[in-house]
Amino acid sequence: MLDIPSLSLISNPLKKFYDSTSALYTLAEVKSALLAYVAKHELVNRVEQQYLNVNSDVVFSAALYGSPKNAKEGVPPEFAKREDALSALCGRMQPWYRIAIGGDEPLTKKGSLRPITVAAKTRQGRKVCTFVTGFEQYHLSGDALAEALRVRCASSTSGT
Amino acid sequence: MCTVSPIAGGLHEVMVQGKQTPAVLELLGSLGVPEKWIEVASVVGKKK
Repeated sequence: MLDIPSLSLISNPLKKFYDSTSALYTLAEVKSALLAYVAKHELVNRVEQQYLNVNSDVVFSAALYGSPKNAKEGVPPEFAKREDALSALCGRMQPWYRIAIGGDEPLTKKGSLRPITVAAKTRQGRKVCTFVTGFEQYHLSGDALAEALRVRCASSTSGT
Repeated sequence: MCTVSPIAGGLHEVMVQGKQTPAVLELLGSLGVPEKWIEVASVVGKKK
Protein backbone atom coordinates (compact mmCIF):
# COMPACT_ATOMS: atom_id res chain seq x y z
CA MET A 1 0.00 0.00 0.00
CA LEU A 2 1.33 3.36 -0.91
CA ASP A 3 -0.01 6.57 0.55
CA ILE A 4 0.80 9.82 -1.13
CA PRO A 5 -1.10 12.39 0.85
CA SER A 6 -0.75 15.99 -0.23
CA LEU A 7 -2.49 19.11 0.87
CA SER A 8 -4.71 20.71 -1.68
CA LEU A 9 -6.70 23.82 -1.09
CA ILE A 10 -9.80 25.25 -2.64
CA SER A 11 -9.67 28.94 -3.16
CA ASN A 12 -12.48 31.24 -2.21
CA PRO A 13 -11.27 34.82 -2.35
CA LEU A 14 -8.56 34.22 -4.94
CA LYS A 15 -10.70 35.35 -7.89
CA LYS A 16 -8.12 37.88 -8.98
CA PHE A 17 -5.19 35.49 -8.83
CA TYR A 18 -6.58 32.53 -10.63
CA ASP A 19 -9.57 32.03 -12.87
CA SER A 20 -11.41 29.59 -10.69
CA THR A 21 -12.66 29.69 -7.14
CA SER A 22 -13.63 26.07 -7.10
CA ALA A 23 -10.41 24.49 -8.29
CA LEU A 24 -7.86 22.78 -6.10
CA TYR A 25 -4.43 24.31 -5.63
CA THR A 26 -1.37 22.88 -3.94
CA LEU A 27 0.56 24.95 -1.45
CA ALA A 28 3.24 25.56 -4.07
CA GLU A 29 0.67 26.85 -6.57
CA VAL A 30 -0.85 29.19 -3.99
CA LYS A 31 2.60 30.53 -3.13
CA SER A 32 3.51 31.18 -6.75
CA ALA A 33 0.15 32.87 -7.39
CA LEU A 34 0.73 35.08 -4.35
CA LEU A 35 4.24 36.03 -5.44
CA ALA A 36 3.10 36.65 -9.02
CA TYR A 37 0.41 39.03 -7.77
CA VAL A 38 2.89 40.77 -5.48
CA ALA A 39 5.32 41.23 -8.37
CA LYS A 40 2.63 42.46 -10.77
CA HIS A 41 1.23 45.01 -8.36
CA GLU A 42 4.62 45.97 -6.88
CA LEU A 43 3.72 45.26 -3.30
CA VAL A 44 7.25 44.72 -2.00
CA ASN A 45 8.21 47.32 0.56
CA ARG A 46 11.07 49.47 -0.81
CA VAL A 47 12.69 50.06 2.55
CA GLU A 48 12.42 46.52 3.94
CA GLN A 49 12.48 43.97 1.13
CA GLN A 50 11.30 41.26 3.52
CA TYR A 51 7.93 42.91 3.97
CA LEU A 52 4.96 43.36 1.65
CA ASN A 53 2.73 46.42 1.65
CA VAL A 54 -0.57 44.73 2.40
CA ASN A 55 -2.57 47.90 2.89
CA SER A 56 -1.72 49.53 -0.40
CA ASP A 57 -3.89 47.12 -2.39
CA VAL A 58 -7.49 46.68 -1.26
CA VAL A 59 -7.99 43.42 -3.12
CA PHE A 60 -4.82 41.96 -1.65
CA SER A 61 -5.73 42.99 1.87
CA ALA A 62 -9.24 41.61 1.47
CA ALA A 63 -7.95 38.30 0.13
CA LEU A 64 -5.64 37.88 3.09
CA TYR A 65 -7.58 39.35 5.97
CA GLY A 66 -11.15 39.85 4.80
CA SER A 67 -12.82 43.14 3.92
CA PRO A 68 -12.28 45.98 6.44
CA LYS A 69 -15.97 46.15 7.37
CA ASN A 70 -15.97 42.51 8.44
CA ALA A 71 -12.73 42.66 10.39
CA LYS A 72 -13.30 40.70 13.56
CA GLU A 73 -10.02 41.39 15.27
CA GLY A 74 -9.53 45.07 14.68
CA VAL A 75 -7.60 46.60 11.81
CA PRO A 76 -5.76 44.27 9.40
CA PRO A 77 -1.95 44.73 9.41
CA GLU A 78 -0.22 47.18 7.09
CA PHE A 79 2.79 45.02 6.39
CA ALA A 80 3.39 41.30 6.30
CA LYS A 81 6.27 38.98 5.60
CA ARG A 82 5.77 36.59 2.69
CA GLU A 83 5.36 33.59 5.02
CA ASP A 84 2.72 35.38 7.09
CA ALA A 85 0.86 36.54 4.00
CA LEU A 86 0.88 33.00 2.64
CA SER A 87 -0.45 31.51 5.87
CA ALA A 88 -3.10 34.23 6.12
CA LEU A 89 -4.24 33.44 2.59
CA CYS A 90 -4.26 29.69 3.23
CA GLY A 91 -6.25 30.30 6.39
CA ARG A 92 -9.04 31.73 4.26
CA MET A 93 -9.06 28.72 1.96
CA GLN A 94 -10.75 25.39 2.43
CA PRO A 95 -8.38 22.54 3.25
CA TRP A 96 -8.61 19.43 1.10
CA TYR A 97 -6.31 16.47 0.81
CA ARG A 98 -5.53 13.86 -1.79
CA ILE A 99 -4.57 10.33 -0.85
CA ALA A 100 -3.54 7.42 -3.06
CA ILE A 101 -3.61 3.89 -1.74
CA GLY A 102 -1.71 1.15 -3.49
CA GLY A 103 -2.02 1.63 -7.20
CA ASP A 104 -5.52 3.07 -7.05
CA GLU A 105 -6.70 6.43 -8.24
CA PRO A 106 -6.05 9.21 -5.71
CA LEU A 107 -9.10 10.17 -3.67
CA THR A 108 -9.64 13.85 -3.05
CA LYS A 109 -11.43 14.68 0.16
CA LYS A 110 -12.49 17.76 2.05
CA GLY A 111 -10.95 18.51 5.43
CA SER A 112 -7.42 18.42 6.71
CA LEU A 113 -5.41 15.23 6.98
CA ARG A 114 -4.46 14.55 10.57
CA PRO A 115 -1.31 12.58 11.35
CA ILE A 116 -1.57 9.16 12.93
CA THR A 117 -0.78 9.38 16.63
CA VAL A 118 1.34 6.71 18.27
CA ALA A 119 1.45 7.35 22.00
CA ALA A 120 2.99 5.30 24.79
CA LYS A 121 1.14 5.92 28.03
CA THR A 122 1.28 4.52 31.52
CA ARG A 123 -1.88 2.89 32.74
CA GLN A 124 -2.85 1.55 36.12
CA GLY A 125 0.36 2.42 37.80
CA ARG A 126 3.34 1.00 35.98
CA LYS A 127 1.82 -0.78 32.97
CA VAL A 128 2.86 0.93 29.75
CA CYS A 129 0.56 0.71 26.72
CA THR A 130 0.97 1.95 23.18
CA PHE A 131 -2.06 3.57 21.55
CA VAL A 132 -2.52 4.15 17.84
CA THR A 133 -5.24 6.59 16.78
CA GLY A 134 -6.26 8.54 13.70
CA PHE A 135 -5.53 5.87 11.14
CA GLU A 136 -9.01 5.80 9.55
CA GLN A 137 -8.27 8.66 7.17
CA TYR A 138 -5.50 6.51 5.69
CA HIS A 139 -7.93 3.71 4.89
CA LEU A 140 -6.38 1.40 7.45
CA SER A 141 -8.65 -0.78 9.52
CA GLY A 142 -8.20 -1.16 13.26
CA ASP A 143 -8.63 -4.91 13.01
CA ALA A 144 -5.98 -5.29 10.32
CA LEU A 145 -3.54 -3.17 12.33
CA ALA A 146 -4.25 -5.10 15.52
CA GLU A 147 -3.75 -8.40 13.75
CA ALA A 148 -0.45 -7.32 12.23
CA LEU A 149 0.76 -5.96 15.56
CA ARG A 150 -0.29 -9.09 17.39
CA VAL A 151 2.03 -11.07 15.15
CA ARG A 152 4.93 -8.62 15.43
CA CYS A 153 4.73 -7.92 19.14
CA ALA A 154 4.26 -11.52 20.15
CA SER A 155 7.74 -12.24 18.90
CA SER A 156 9.32 -9.21 20.59
CA THR A 157 10.93 -9.52 24.00
CA SER A 158 8.90 -6.89 25.80
CA GLY A 159 7.23 -9.12 28.41
CA THR A 160 3.71 -8.13 29.59
CA MET B 1 -1.92 -8.47 23.45
CA CYS B 2 -3.58 -6.12 20.98
CA THR B 3 -7.12 -4.74 21.05
CA VAL B 4 -9.30 -2.34 19.10
CA SER B 5 -11.78 -0.18 20.93
CA PRO B 6 -14.08 2.60 19.73
CA ILE B 7 -13.52 6.17 20.83
CA ALA B 8 -15.36 9.44 20.36
CA GLY B 9 -16.34 10.52 16.84
CA GLY B 10 -16.82 7.06 15.36
CA LEU B 11 -13.10 6.45 15.39
CA HIS B 12 -11.16 3.53 16.75
CA GLU B 13 -8.09 3.15 18.88
CA VAL B 14 -5.64 0.27 18.68
CA MET B 15 -3.94 -0.62 21.94
CA VAL B 16 -0.90 -2.84 22.39
CA GLN B 17 0.49 -3.75 25.78
CA GLY B 18 3.99 -2.60 26.45
CA LYS B 19 6.08 0.06 24.81
CA GLN B 20 5.67 -0.99 21.18
CA THR B 21 6.41 2.33 19.51
CA PRO B 22 9.18 1.05 17.21
CA ALA B 23 7.11 -1.96 16.17
CA VAL B 24 4.12 0.24 15.37
CA LEU B 25 6.25 2.69 13.41
CA GLU B 26 7.78 -0.17 11.46
CA LEU B 27 4.33 -1.55 10.65
CA LEU B 28 2.95 1.81 9.51
CA GLY B 29 6.07 2.35 7.44
CA SER B 30 5.68 -1.01 5.75
CA LEU B 31 2.08 -0.10 4.92
CA GLY B 32 3.34 2.99 3.14
CA VAL B 33 2.47 5.77 5.55
CA PRO B 34 5.12 8.51 5.22
CA GLU B 35 6.97 9.44 8.45
CA LYS B 36 5.78 13.00 8.05
CA TRP B 37 2.25 11.88 8.80
CA ILE B 38 2.99 10.00 11.99
CA GLU B 39 3.05 11.79 15.30
CA VAL B 40 4.89 10.01 18.08
CA ALA B 41 4.21 10.84 21.72
CA SER B 42 5.58 9.28 24.84
CA VAL B 43 3.78 10.23 28.01
CA VAL B 44 5.46 7.68 30.22
CA GLY B 45 4.72 9.23 33.55
CA LYS B 46 1.75 8.86 35.82
CA LYS B 47 -1.00 9.61 33.32
CA LYS B 48 -4.20 7.77 32.54
